[in-house]
Amino acid sequence: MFAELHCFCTILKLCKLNIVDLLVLGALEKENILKFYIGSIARNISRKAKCSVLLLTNPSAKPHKFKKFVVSGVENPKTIHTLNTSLYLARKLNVNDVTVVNEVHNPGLAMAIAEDSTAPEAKEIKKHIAEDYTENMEELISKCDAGDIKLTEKIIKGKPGYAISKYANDKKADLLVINSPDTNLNLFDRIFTHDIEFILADLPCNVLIVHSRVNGD
Amino acid sequence: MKLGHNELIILLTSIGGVLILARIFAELGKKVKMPIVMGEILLGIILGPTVFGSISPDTFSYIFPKVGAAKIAMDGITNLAVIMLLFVAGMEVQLQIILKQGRTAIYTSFTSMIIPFILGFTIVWFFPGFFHYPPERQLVYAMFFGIAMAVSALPVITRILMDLNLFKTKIGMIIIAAAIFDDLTGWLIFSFVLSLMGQEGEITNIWFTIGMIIGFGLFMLIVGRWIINHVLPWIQKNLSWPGGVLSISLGFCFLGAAFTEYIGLHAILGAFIVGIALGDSVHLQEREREIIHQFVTNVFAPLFFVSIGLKVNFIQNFDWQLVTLVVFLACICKVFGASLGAYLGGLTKRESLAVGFGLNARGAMEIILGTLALSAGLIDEKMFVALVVMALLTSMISGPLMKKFTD
Repeated sequence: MFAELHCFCTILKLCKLNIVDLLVLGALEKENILKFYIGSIARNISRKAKCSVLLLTNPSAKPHKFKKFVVSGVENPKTIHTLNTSLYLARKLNVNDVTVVNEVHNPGLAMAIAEDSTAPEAKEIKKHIAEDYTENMEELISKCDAGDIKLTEKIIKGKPGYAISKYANDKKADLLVINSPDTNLNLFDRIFTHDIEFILADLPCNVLIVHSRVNGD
Repeated sequence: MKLGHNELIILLTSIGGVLILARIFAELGKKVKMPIVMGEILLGIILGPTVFGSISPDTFSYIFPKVGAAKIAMDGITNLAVIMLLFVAGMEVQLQIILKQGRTAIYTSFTSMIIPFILGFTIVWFFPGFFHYPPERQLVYAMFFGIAMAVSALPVITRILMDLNLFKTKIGMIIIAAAIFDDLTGWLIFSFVLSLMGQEGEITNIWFTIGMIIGFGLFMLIVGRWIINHVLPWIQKNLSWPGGVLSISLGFCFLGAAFTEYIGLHAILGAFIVGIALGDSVHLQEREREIIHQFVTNVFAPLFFVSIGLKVNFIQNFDWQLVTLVVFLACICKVFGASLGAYLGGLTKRESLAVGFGLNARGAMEIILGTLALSAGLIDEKMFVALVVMALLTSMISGPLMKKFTD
């Protein structure tokens, strides 16, 4: 389809008009600080698209084989659809290494523990929280149809968005799969950084943002 | 003025004694489920003019002198303590948590701040007879009382949520998000109120002050955070750990505090905003965050909270009518405001009340607020005692009442 493209709004309108399932875009791995706040076309589309978006950091006429997927297992109703989409794609691309990652981040915990916990109490609190995350992850995985694909669970500490991005980078993943944002992101989400903005600021690999039409949009 | 040999001995003895006794009182208090801060304040009351000072005034004046170099040094230490307490409070402010929790958290955050603030402000404005303040200070006093009704105490609330096993639940996250918002807005408005107090208590240029607060906040959140995000990985890689992170972080904290004090805002604002910028950094490791908290909470916070009891006679300044009024208003304003937001955001009546009682805990934040207001000459000792009692009572009743509505 050819259309006169004035800005990312035109692409978004076309996607909505044609009920596009997946939009594929090339994107630079990193944005400078000015671009981060102003936004590039690929990033702005990723922030506002009402369809799934695949950001390719090194688009090539001779594509290389994908071997490793990292999927966000964040606690959200959309995640099960994102995980199933990742598994579908993994089967189509013969990918066997799929890691589902959840990020442990508890604001206020360090301060509360510092106030009045003994070392064993602090350890017990942290262990209990980690067990909660593991249980939720296991429940999520039990709901999806992995088939012959081996799913690995991983709990990591750190800020949501940044931690998974760093993990995908360290693991040299070929594709990072995440949920689409729940709301349209704006400048405010870049000042008080939204999870997805950490990923968009410095793409660790190719990124698939899965848009679940749970609200019918 | 130089710190003499004897004065140095007195200073060191009082610091050492206070730290050890504060720990003993805090641990004893823990056994009866009392907040740590309550044990520390109780020790201050026992060591201060309320008990020890009235039994043996000469010994009290010798150990805790009211004039001289030792007194100045001790005041310096408690000032450092309050700056660091605000710094670590800032480190836990993460606004994206509110946005992430969606509509309920946003509604709860706004109403739990705005409704208590408006109610507190209105009561002072229209019923000045209940309070004691000079007529020319009506605006700042009303604003201060509004903030005193609106603040929450994130550490106490987090602890209660952990004890009730609600930390990771929907209600728990809504309460945390709203407490973060209340802390942020409360301290920003309070800095503004303190800045309005000119040298002689005259109101200075309001718009200039607002502009400076917003300008400094935005500068730190964009440029300051960018600098911290680039400096922190370098420190972690090249300097000794965790000493490097600890000293540079506190260095930034004091520089920020000095800067805001220099431009006419209060030092706490600089420390608080530097805390937000540092706490928001993706490079700050969980262990480093804990070490900074441990250092401030266990060394400087006890000195600060004990010093409160050393300054004020709690029996002489206990006005039961004022205490009852402040406790009653604080509970009504906060529980109503927070519950309303939670209910409008889609929670059930019981869940909304649980959120309201959760956010009602004021804890250490209220006491710091009261101390700063007392030091600035904004409130008298009777109001200060009423605020301390309210902070302790609300922290103690918050858990049991929350439990009642979540069971």
